[in-house]
Amino acid sequence: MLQSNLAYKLPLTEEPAHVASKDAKLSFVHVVVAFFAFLIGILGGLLQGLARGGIIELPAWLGYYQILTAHGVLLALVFTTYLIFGFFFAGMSRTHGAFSDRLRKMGWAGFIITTIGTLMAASMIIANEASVLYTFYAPLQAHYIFYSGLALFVVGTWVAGAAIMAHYFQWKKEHPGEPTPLFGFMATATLILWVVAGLGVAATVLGQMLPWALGMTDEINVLLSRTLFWYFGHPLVYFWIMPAYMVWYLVIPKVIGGRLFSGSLARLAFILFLLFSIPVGFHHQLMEAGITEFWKYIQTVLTFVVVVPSLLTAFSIFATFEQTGREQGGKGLFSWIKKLPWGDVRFFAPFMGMLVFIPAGAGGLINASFQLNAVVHNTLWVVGHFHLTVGTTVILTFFGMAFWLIPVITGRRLTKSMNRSGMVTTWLWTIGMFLMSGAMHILGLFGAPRRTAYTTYQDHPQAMSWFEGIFASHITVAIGGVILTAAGILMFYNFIYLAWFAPKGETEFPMTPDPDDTPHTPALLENWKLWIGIAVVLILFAYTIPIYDMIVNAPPGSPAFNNLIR
Amino acid sequence: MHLHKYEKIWLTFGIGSLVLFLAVLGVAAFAFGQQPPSHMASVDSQNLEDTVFAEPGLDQINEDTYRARIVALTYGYSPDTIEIPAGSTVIFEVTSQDVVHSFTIPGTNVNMMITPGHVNMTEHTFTEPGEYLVICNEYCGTGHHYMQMKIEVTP
Amino acid sequence: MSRTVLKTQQHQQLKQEDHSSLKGTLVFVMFVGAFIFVSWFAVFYLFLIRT
Repeated sequence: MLQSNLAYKLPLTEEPAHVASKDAKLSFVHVVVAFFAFLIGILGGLLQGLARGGIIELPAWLGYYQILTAHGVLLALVFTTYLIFGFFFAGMSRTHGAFSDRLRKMGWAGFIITTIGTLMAASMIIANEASVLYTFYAPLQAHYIFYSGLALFVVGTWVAGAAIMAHYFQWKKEHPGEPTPLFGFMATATLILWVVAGLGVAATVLGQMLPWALGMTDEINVLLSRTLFWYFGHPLVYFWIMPAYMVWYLVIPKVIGGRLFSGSLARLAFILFLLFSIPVGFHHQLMEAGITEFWKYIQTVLTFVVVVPSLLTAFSIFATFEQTGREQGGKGLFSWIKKLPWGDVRFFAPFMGMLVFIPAGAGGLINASFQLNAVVHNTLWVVGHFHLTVGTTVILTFFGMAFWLIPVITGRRLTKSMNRSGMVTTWLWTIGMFLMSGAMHILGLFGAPRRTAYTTYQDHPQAMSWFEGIFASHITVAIGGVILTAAGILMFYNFIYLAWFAPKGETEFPMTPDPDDTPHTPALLENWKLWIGIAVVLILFAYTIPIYDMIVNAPPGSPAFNNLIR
Repeated sequence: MHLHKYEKIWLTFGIGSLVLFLAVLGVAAFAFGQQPPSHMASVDSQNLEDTVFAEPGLDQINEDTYRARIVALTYGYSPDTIEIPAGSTVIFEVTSQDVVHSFTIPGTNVNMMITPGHVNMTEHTFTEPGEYLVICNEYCGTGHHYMQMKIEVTP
Repeated sequence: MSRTVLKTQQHQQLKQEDHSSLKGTLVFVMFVGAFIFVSWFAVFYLFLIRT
């Protein structure tokens, strides 16, 4: 296709778009909460690594599973969610104009509700009343305040999400017939996914766990609660990944001095995520009784479909790199690579995240592979896997983002020395994760379990070998953990400096110019009613019969077990 | 929407690989019976004494096939040891009397979730003699890391 | 203004020869595909020998 006569729609120069100062403040409070949660979360991770490796012994007042719960909740739920909303509020203000006072108030309301929920859940974890890990599987039972906190957390994000979506649809209404800005399109797809997925966790927390923890019901349907959790739990990982992809699609092209390769393909990828990342939760339950092979296989197939948008993304991102490198004079098969800004942390940190996504994606396919899951299910392999996906790909992308997002919303500048500090952070994180996650993957293939405190199983030779490998050892995991902690503390310092001490100045919110194919965006892609409708149909198809079966043929329920977690 | 020629090549290869993986898994599962453990029987986890799990243990079904009925509990298994001769195939039927556990023999494909109210089932042929470790790899409480049993495979 | 238009034209010229200009990308993604392919079959092999 010849790209002729398109220039009229493309922004010729970068308009001086910025984040309105009131929106910047809303974005900033999210970022602040995120990084404080991050600091506590990684210190928890350090203690776990050392305790599990048998290097230190935890004091009697601090439980291994208590720290593990805090680590998971603070990093996987709190840090990610707050940073994502901080990014969305700033990005929407930058690309769609300032929020109206009404919508901004709604954003603040969401922030406050989410934060109250976070504090409630955190206080119960600190009090050792909720050491149920971040998956809180019944019939282990936490304090009802923990479940109430989780419910408020989710509802708060819905309120904040509604403000962002309303801002997007307002723009759409005011610009009939025009393709919507990519940032709003992608944020909206991510938030619709989050809301639809959140219905599952809301259903199990409000409908099952809270009444049960309050003593209003005596028993709980364990399989149903697990199923509702994973109905939410898998799209949750896409809720982390999609904002990272937004940085790759929208920010990185600008940082490297180019333009996104194709807008329509980017939109298509996000629509595919919306459609196929929810009806796949059974791939977390492949090894359990009470779900037939047939429905497990159906959801395995749907899981494989959701790989396709990542295949699209891999091509689009590298095509953007190559196109930009060549425009800047790079020649030959690979020498354009030299034209990329390797010394710029805003590019380099997300780039390392992209590289890590290759083994992460390969591992994910293996996890979801039906009976193959027996090799890795609930072993350290799985922990290694998601420390690559969310713990490296997403986090390094967010680190890279922090180096421009924080100065943008605080009216400061990214200094040269801060950039260097970010580069060191990125290298340390990558090296630490190579050791930790690499060892975890191999230990997992040998059968070492996840979520298990220090143990040698009465000195069984097989369990002893998990401490004795040259690379594949809990000791390597601990060493990796120490390096990661160093990187994390450095990143926290970077955050503090950028937020309060960097020199005042103007910083650019990098945003790709509209891709060449923008005027040809198929209107179909913007038909949200259609996509939500198809998503609902797919969910009903994948879940109705198995869930009906779980309810109608349910065994007698389980009573509460709240004494086992203290 | 325009797809670059190379992107078509890439997507064809990528999607083709996914289809191949699914086909291999599907054939292994539905034609050769290598299914993930997905047993549909249920029990009352609070009244196991009224079920076949009242007396868990090993039954010999024929010359080299055994059935092991095992109850997972915090923090162990009942029975905590079983003994079989090498070359035996053991059909494991496992349930839980309290919370969610797993029944996992590291180094084998025996790795299944044990949810209360359900019986899960898998089988394994023990060709090599030795002492096999069975562990729980699902968090089940503060003593989770002590949960184990043994399978003695005699020559 | 005119300079940016020029830039856009250059941009379009580059787009027209795009079949040759994305070779690096193709090589890269095929490497990714091969990596996924090999690791998947490696674990599948592990599954088979453990059965």
